[in-house]
Amino acid sequence: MARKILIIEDEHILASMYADRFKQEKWKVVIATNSNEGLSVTRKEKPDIVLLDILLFNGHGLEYLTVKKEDKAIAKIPVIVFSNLDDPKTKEEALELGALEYLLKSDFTPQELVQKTISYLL
Amino acid sequence: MSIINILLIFAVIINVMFAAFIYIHSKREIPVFFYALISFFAGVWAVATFLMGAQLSLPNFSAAAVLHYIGGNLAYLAFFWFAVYYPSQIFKSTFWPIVITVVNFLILFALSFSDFFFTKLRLDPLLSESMVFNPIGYFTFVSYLSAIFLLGEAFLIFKFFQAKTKERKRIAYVIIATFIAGTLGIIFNLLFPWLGNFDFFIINPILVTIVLTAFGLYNILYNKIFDIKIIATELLIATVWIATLYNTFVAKTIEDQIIQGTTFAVTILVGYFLIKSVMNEIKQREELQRAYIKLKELDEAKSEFVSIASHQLRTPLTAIKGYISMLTEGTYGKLLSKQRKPITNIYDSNERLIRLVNDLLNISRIESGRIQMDWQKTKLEDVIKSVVSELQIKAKQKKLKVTLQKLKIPLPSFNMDPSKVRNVILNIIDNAIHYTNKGSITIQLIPQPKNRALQTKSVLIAIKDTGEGMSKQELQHLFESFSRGKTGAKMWTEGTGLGLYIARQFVQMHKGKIWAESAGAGKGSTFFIQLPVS
Repeated sequence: MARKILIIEDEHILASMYADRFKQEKWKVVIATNSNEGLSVTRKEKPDIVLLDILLFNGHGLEYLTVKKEDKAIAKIPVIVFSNLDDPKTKEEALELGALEYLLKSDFTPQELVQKTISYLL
Repeated sequence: MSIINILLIFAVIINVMFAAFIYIHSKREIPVFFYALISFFAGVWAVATFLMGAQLSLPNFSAAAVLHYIGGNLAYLAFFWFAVYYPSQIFKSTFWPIVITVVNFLILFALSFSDFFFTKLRLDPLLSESMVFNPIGYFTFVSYLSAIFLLGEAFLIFKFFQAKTKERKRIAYVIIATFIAGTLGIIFNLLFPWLGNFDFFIINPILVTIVLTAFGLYNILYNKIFDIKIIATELLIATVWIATLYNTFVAKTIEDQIIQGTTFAVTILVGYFLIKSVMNEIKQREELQRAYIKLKELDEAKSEFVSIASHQLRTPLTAIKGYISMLTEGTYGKLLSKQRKPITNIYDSNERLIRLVNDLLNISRIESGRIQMDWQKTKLEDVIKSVVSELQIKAKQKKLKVTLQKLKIPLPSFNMDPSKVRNVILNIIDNAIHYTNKGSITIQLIPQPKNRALQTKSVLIAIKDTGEGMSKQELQHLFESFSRGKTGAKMWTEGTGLGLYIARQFVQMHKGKIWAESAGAGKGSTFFIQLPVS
């Protein structure tokens, strides 16, 4: 069965780019642009993994993690924070709220990101 | 002079000085003004009490007796107004407090100019015989005074319950101090005398002064309302003034009076300049404190700006990096061979920009002391191997060999920030590749002490290249920001000039050392990094 990934990203260009790469690997891709939409899509689609941006146009990635953690239906879905905000305090908070990892977008090509994501599902 | 009279004089001086001190050093807020008035009228009350026991003539004794009750009453009235305004105004309108005050002044007028309060005043060794009170006037006076006192306490208690936790403690101290002082005054100077007991009549001002001043000083010192330096300085100066003034009055001869008087005048002058100097020092310290707070706020704002700015810069760079790499992989169709080189050049340029943004963010954090260490037990060989693996393609393009010399006995894992150590080694090997046209780059690990039977205390990483080398002058400025060796400036312009500066900061955060050696231009270089092993 094809794996499903939810990408919570408000930058359309980046969301589209990562979606193209994951689709090339035969993943099903769902996109949300803010934390509230991300939560409702997570509850509906139950993705295998979530790629979460931090600085969203409407809301903050940490809000998504906080609510998700308290929701038993979706709490166990793994989340990788994927952001260009290199802030140690935000990183620490994200990991405390259950994120598997906090990656800097500019450090990874889409292919490297796919490999990293697969490694978490093995 | 009896000890009680001396203490009464002290009570007067302390009350008046306290009132002056509070008012002069305050921000002239209304509650502080009334607090100072309480002390001032307590001083007036103490003076009058002293004079009542001083065996004066009848007119003077009568005046002192009237002043005693007026002074005391006005201290309670001042407390009432203090309670209206402290810590904030209880009523929007002061109509009723003004009405209460007017009625109070009418009572005082009647006390002063009629037999409303005193039926008779006469000279007698016993105070109980020297004053005959008019029952109606006395009862009215005591009831009214007690009522405004209790009303004031009620205002404070109401504000106690309205206040936030932090402020409640301060209000509680004020309630306790004023309640004790006010109750002592009513019991010993109003109720007991009505019953014929004047035992505490004279000494009560001393007791009340102790209570008011002790709580007042505690409040000042505990809440750091005024600097202890200024309190101590003014206390010292005041004591010297009082002592020299007293000596002037008690001097027996004219010559002594002149000497003491001159000493008094000099102490006033010296005291004034000393107090002024201390106040200036305190003012400067407060200004420095405010400037420091402002600087911290600006630093926080700058740090937040740098984080957000680097995020915004990285976003388009990430898009370029991602799409170029996918183009190269063939995600959007196979590239023509002549397209590969320009596409690769775009990718490399973009990577350079990403490195620059990362370096600038690191520099900003290093210089504002905000960089955090992520200490982990790590195998150094693994970190170096990952760097060598990452740079192999670049090295192969220039036909350079990059090798890590393996140790017979591997190093133990030790505490480091692996991403920072990786950054340092990546910078140095990357530099070595760029500044070397032919030959090799060798990485050697030298545990210290060399005897591996002993516990390893530190490790020396030596990265040797067969590149262009450096002069002594270039070696001196190598680890400064925006610095490249002269030779390097010709060969390679891709470096930001920040890499080695950041490398040095990261090594120093590990309490390590970094330096470079070279036999000169064209003779290669060796970079050394020493890291403690713990």
